[in-house]
Amino acid sequence: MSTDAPNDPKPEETASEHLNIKVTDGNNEVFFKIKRTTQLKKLMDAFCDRQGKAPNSVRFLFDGTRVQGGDSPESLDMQDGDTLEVHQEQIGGGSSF
Amino acid sequence: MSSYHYPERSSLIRYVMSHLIVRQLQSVLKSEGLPTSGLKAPLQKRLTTHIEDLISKGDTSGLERVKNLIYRPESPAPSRNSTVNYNQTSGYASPAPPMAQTPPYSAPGYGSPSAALSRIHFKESPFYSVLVGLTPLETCPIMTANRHSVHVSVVLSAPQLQQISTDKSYRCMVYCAAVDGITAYTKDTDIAFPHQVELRVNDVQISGLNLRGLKNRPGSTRPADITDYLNRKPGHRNQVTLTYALTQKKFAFVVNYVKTDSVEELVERLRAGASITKETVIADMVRKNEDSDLVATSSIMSLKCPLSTLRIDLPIRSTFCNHMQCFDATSFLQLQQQAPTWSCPTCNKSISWKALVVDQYFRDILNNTPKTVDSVTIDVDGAWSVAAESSGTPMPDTDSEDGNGGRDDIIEVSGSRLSKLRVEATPIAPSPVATTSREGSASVPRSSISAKRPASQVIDLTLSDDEDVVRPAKRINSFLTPTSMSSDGRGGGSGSSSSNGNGSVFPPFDPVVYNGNSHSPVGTPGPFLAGGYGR
Repeated sequence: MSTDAPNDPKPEETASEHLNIKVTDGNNEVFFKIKRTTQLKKLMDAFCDRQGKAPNSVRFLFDGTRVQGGDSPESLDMQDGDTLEVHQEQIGGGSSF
Repeated sequence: MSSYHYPERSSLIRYVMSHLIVRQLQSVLKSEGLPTSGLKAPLQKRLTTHIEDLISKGDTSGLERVKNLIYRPESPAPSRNSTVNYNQTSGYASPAPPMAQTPPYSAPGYGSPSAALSRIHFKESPFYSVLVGLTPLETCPIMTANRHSVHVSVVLSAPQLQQISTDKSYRCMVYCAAVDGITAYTKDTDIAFPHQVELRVNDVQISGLNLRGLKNRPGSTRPADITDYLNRKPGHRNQVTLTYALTQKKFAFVVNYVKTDSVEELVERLRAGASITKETVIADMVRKNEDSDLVATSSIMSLKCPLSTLRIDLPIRSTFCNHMQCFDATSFLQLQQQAPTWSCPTCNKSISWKALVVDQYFRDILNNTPKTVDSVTIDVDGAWSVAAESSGTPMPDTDSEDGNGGRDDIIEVSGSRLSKLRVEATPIAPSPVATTSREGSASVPRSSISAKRPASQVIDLTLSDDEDVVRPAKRINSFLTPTSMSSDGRGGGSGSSSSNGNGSVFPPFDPVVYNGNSHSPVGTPGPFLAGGYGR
């Protein structure tokens, strides 16, 4: 469904040009309206800026998988109203190779 | 007025033209708020024009300031360190004579003419204001292998003794710092004691002092309070001994007579002090939202202090923070008194006492919401409202579409637990609390959290009767199907005790009422220390 079909003049397609995304860190929530094609880096930076967090001190999860800066709502197949979870970034604790 | 400065004019300008390098010119210009771009010649021109300008205006204080900057361009704010020995800053010795005419600022005097370093400018702390030094600055030479003791004697004057014994806020404190690379002009020196250190007063070792601060956090050490160990006989020479070993740096210490300020006093000072106005906060919010690609529609802001997790009493943040989240003045200052890290609990920026301000916007929200509300929804234009789900913590797990199945489960659990409470609580607890909070559980799953609280009352009561426990649980389940609500809810499910609940329960659910009721017992969990020291 996320294949872009600009020829298709369905009204709901234009309506879903923007998505409402909830970003929450378990304490505070911010609702963002974002274009399907906008890189999520922008959203992450905006959230960090608002919350006063350093961008490299947190990780963003969508459906449990980490969101990269280059992802867009389109590439992650996000729906209107989806939630991004913000968790504290941590180092260590992984298995050593 | 200008005639007074006229004679110095030529020497000043000559000095600017011949002695100052580009970097110094830039720093002087910058301090004066002038542009610092361009090559050396335009910089010199700009500065001399500025000086001529000041002379023609007869601006004595401005001239004085510029003069200080020019002759000592290293330190941007010369006012504190005017009693300066010019031989120490190499190279600027020659123009010292004009400076010497300026009256020396009366720094609290611990003048020891012999030591090269006569004073240390310690980082200021709002908790301690140094009134006077009781001893000269005593240096502790480097001891890489041995231990060493340095003695000073402290004699308190009669008025000081009087003050100390009547007013607990006057203290004697040992300030110590590593002095390698520190000159008399170095500002904001962190307090630091040698790693291996003992402090004795009159041969009594002072215990229970944390002289190390937090690990890897320089500046988090407090001065050492020795007041209670001093002999209060007038004229008694108290011997203060600093024993240390295995140092790689030179240290120096001094005993200061200090007036301390309590957290409460500081909070009051903040309350009366500077603030960020509502308009500023809102304008800032609108400005952040100008990007058309990404629009923040609304956000939920917690009214709880990130340090204490209690509702904020006096919301403060620093002027450097660009987040809206505030923290509580009392909690923050209490932490800073213990371990002065002075970093923002939200964004970790280092914030000074002077930069702390009250956020009027946040304060307005706090003043206009009931005490039980602990988060609000903020719209783009700065308008705010009590969030529909303003209780508890909105954890990510309450999200999304598949919540229906999960919700039913949760309701069963909390419902049965609550109905236990309600059934047995009728003789004891006021039933409206139980009924409304149960109602809340039907729509907001997390109220199971709040339901746990009264559950402590439940425990001993469940021993009474098993059937009462089981039956209402069934009844709750039947309520969930809307069809059965009218018939079943009224007649069949309820036995004797719960009939009073039914009438009042199901009428429309009001989130605000629900919050008010269910949260009042939750309001003071007090995990302050855990939250505070964890970070």
